Amino acid sequence: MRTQEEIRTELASAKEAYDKVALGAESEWRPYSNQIKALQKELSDCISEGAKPCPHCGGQPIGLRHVHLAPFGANQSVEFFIYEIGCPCKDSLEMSMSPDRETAVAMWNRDEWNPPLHREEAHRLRQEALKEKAKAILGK
Amino acid sequence: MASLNKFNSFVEAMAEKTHNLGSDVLTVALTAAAPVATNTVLGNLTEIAYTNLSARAITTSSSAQTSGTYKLVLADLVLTASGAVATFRYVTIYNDTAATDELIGWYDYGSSLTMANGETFTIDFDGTNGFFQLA
Repeated sequence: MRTQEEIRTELASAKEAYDKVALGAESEWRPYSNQIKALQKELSDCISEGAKPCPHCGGQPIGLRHVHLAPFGANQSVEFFIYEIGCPCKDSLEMSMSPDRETAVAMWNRDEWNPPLHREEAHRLRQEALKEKAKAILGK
Repeated sequence: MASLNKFNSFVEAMAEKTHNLGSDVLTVALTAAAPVATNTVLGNLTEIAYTNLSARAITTSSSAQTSGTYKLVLADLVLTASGAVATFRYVTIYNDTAATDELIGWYDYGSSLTMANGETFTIDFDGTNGFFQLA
């Protein structure tokens, strides 16, 4: 399986090509649209690789990567990712989140879901990211 | 969590090939004044200035149906200020690829806010439960 970055690079190119013809004839934009959807699916499968099937529909869960920023000083920010594993089937409300992809998958496989906490978790992670940044700058 | 308010025209636009939500670029617009359900396009809104604000394009993670229920799943979007950003309260989602930037829905933050240099504002979309569902 390709890496996330490889897929994202190709996805960005496909979106750029789609955007140029999106308002034209369907015969022009439909191939790019199909390519985008296929790449989105591939990216989702890459993120959720190793996750067990959804307990409701039996399908492969989807994977998302949320980009979060913690402001640091003037005009600076620390970027970190939160990975989310879940299933969009109509009966599913469960999702597992972690800044580490493998941990998010492991939590999903253990039926360890944290949707009620993810905002507080995101805040905690922002604080930790700021502390790490401060440590790096202060050399401690 | 803020609820999504739908623009009435969106459902008709969906039925008449205006939106390709799997591929089109959905984007955030910020306003101080409240949108109304009868607004149809971005031009109906008075947006704040985005001079000191980071990119507002949203990432679509998944656009698919399961057992006849469609869900559009969007990744969270973090806006970062590189200077002062004007007061806003309402967050509108629109289709930037569509011909006239057709509107989809909006959120009410509940109170007005401003952003100073370096601050962030996170639009925390409901992850795998979906931005919206169509059944």
